[in-house]
Parts: sequence; C-alpha cells; structure tokens
Amino acid sequence: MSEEPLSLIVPREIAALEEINKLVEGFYRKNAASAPTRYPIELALEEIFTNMVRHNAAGRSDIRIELENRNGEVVAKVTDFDAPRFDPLTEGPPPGIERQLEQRVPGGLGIHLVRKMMDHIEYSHQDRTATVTLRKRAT
Amino acid sequence: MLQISVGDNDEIILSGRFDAAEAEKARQVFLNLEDAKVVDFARLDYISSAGLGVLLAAQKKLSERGKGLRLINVNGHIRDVFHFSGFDQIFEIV
Repeated sequence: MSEEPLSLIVPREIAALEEINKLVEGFYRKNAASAPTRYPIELALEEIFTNMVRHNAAGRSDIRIELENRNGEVVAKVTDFDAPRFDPLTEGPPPGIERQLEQRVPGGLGIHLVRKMMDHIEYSHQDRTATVTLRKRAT
Repeated sequence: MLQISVGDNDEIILSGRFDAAEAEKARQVFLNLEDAKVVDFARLDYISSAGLGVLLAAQKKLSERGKGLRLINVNGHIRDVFHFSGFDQIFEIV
C-alpha cells in the first residue's frame, strides 16, 4: 500500500530533532509492518538533518522532512531549500573506522552509518535546493 | 530524552535516546570522568553518531591514563551501530 507522504517543515536547529522524532513515531504507528526499518530511518534522518544544520548554518530556509511508504519500501527525504552544492556522500571526510583510538575523530561517522544502514541514498541539488533521498526495505 | 543515572555498583546507566539534541548534556558527564567506568546500555533505545562522538572523546581522555569505559548490555541496533563504526575495536564491550 502506498499513501500520501507525511511531511514536516522544521527550523534549521538541532532542537528540531524532537519534532522529527514525533513525525517518525506517527509514521511507524500507521506502518507497523515497516517497524524493522525504524532505527535505520531514524538514524539516517538525524544524521542528514544535523549535517545540513551544522554545515549550512547560514541557510535562510527551513528544512523539510518527508516519509512515505511505497509498497513496503520506506522512502525518506530531507530537503534544504537554501543550500550551496555539497554532496555529503562524496565530499565528506572519511570515517577512519580502521584507525586506532588515538587517531580516531568523530567526523564522517554519521554518513558512514547512513551508508551502512540504508539500501539506497541519493543526493540532488538544483537552484539552491538540496535533497537527500533515503530508501529502506523491511526485509 | 536521555537520562543518565548512577547504579548500585557505581556504573553509569543510560536510558532513552542519545542523539545530537542530548549529546551536550552527556558530554558534561562523560568528559568529567577520571576513572574507569562501566556504562550500562540496557535501557538505551537509540544512539547516533553524536552519541558515539561523546563516548569516543571520553575514551580518548581516559586512555591517556591507561583507563577506559566498559560497555555492557549493548544489544540489537545499537550493537550494529558500534560494529559499523569500528567502536567494537576501541571499547571493551561485554
């Protein structure tokens, strides 16, 4: 079953995570069969959203979060309407997960986790609008 | 919300969500640790890279004195997150 996407516009601030989590909670109440995707989707939304907040603090727009069930596949989108071109998937720092403790730094870890936990990630940018699309199937 | 409490054996008990909105609160606690510590994850529902960053910073600081965090009851998705991050190599997880 596919339904209209749930959508939410939030300010460009980390505190908005609470509102995003409520959206996620509401989505999974209606889509119980997709429950196994909840943690990965929640994490991916947080990582992509906080990246946009931190790396584009000067952006003047709000940020839109969308969640949709497309025939059993959860599709999440995060859209920044005032962003320079920066693809976090190819231009971010390496996570350095093989490094010893002394050399480890936190940068790059978020995107690395998103890659590991999503089935598919896509970045697009046009007319200062950047969108990251995330897909995850329950099985 | 993230709750941080101290258990009967002086272990740190985390419960709730350890996300970017809560990381600063946790940083205050973890970066003030001066000795080895057990951290119980049994009641933690969620951790993101922001939470991992706090644990990493604490582990680095403690390791300078030859100490470290010992993580217990790390289960399910949180265990996956630790594994994907290579954190199972830099923390003692039991």
